[in-house]
Amino acid sequence: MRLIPLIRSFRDSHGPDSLPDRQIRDLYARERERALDAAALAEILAPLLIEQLSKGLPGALHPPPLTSDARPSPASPRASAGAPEIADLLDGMLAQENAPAAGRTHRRP
Amino acid sequence: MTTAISEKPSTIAVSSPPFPAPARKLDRKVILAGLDLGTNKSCILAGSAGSTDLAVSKIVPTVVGYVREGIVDGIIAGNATILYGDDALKNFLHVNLAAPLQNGVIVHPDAARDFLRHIRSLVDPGATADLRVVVGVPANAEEEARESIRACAAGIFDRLLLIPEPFLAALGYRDDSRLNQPNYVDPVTNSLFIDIGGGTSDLCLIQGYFPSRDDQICIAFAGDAIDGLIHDEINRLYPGNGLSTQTVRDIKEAHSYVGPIRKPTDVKVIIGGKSRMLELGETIGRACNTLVDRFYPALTTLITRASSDSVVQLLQNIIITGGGSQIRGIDTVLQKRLEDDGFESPKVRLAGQDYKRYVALGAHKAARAARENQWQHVLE
Repeated sequence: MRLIPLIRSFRDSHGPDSLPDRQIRDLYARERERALDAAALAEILAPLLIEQLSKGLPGALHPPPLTSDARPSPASPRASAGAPEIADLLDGMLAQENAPAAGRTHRRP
Repeated sequence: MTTAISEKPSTIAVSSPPFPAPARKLDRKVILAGLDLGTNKSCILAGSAGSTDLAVSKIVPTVVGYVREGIVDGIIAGNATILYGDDALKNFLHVNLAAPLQNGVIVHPDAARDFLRHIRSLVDPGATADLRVVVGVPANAEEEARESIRACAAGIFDRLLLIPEPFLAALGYRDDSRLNQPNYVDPVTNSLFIDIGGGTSDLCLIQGYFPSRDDQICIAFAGDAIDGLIHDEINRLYPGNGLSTQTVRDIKEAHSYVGPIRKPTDVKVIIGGKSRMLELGETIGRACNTLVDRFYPALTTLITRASSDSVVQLLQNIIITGGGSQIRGIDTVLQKRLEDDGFESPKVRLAGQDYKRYVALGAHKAARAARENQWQHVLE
């Protein structure tokens, strides 16, 4: 957050009332709206741009389609693993009970 | 009682208690129960489906007492003809005691059925509910033993599920409120449980899936066997002592330990009406150390069956539960033995004071989680 030291420095140079808090809040709100508008525009324009670029550049790669829910994979696959559900464990037990005797001893993945 | 009275209660005029048949209404209340059917003590936890409250939480000695003929009216409360649990033990002079189970297996089906009826009456006195019970069974229980339980439960419980006890102990031990904490190791995902009961010592490797037969080992040597060794040695050292099995068990529970022999351990007993002090340090220590010697090979066998990626964490989660967890020093002795044998940083801990309830608690959790199609009907 480099903005805060800059605001402090500006106020030190030009006086404490030179940049009121209300003005800073309005600034944040406008920037937030601009960011949201940019994201919405990107969703609409990006596929069109990709299409145009792929026509214009021979041998150009076709990137994967953008989706609104695209997100990076978790840092660790175990981070998203939940505790084993009891009912699922019981399914495993019943499957063992119903398996033929020859196949009942092994299960280890 | 550790063993059943040798005579079957066939000569006693037992009038069948008036247990009403369960109502057959379609909209019966459903009660979900977890039952640890132990050789010496059973634990039942039950509550209505849809409620998180445990309406019933009882520990009942697994014993049935058939009142002897000729007992004067009024000696037995309500002139009952059958007593159960503590009532049966308190009136041992007036009843023929029958222990339904031996080494975790039903050996007296009639007594077992009477006992299960009693369990039902505790949970559903009016016998109107749809009673669904998860019952713990010893690890790798044979089909014959499982079928005995089903046969005894037929007409008493409406639905049944049989699940190995050490697995249920892990479920019961699991702290559901901490599952989302990053540092909490769910015992169901990677642990080794040692459940030392009265009849059997059950070991189970639990690693996030239901354990197979290879992941479980049952040793028919546990609390009752220790009692037997102590009793035999007392009889050898002090002939004619006349101490009962229950007294010997009480001595064991008060003074049990493993590790180097502790002498003297003086125990006060009453023999022939007179107080005597018996030195039993070596007797008790040898008997309890025998238990560790008996299940230690099974423990190392299961450890070696774990994958190399999981075994280090597994060694940090060896948990002892059941009555045997109360033997003094059993966790430290076992841990040291594993260290001395070269296992990497083993950590053995005790399940804690709730050890009597973990199997039943796990069974109750399983009852609440079981899907409709997982319950087994028990047909008469």
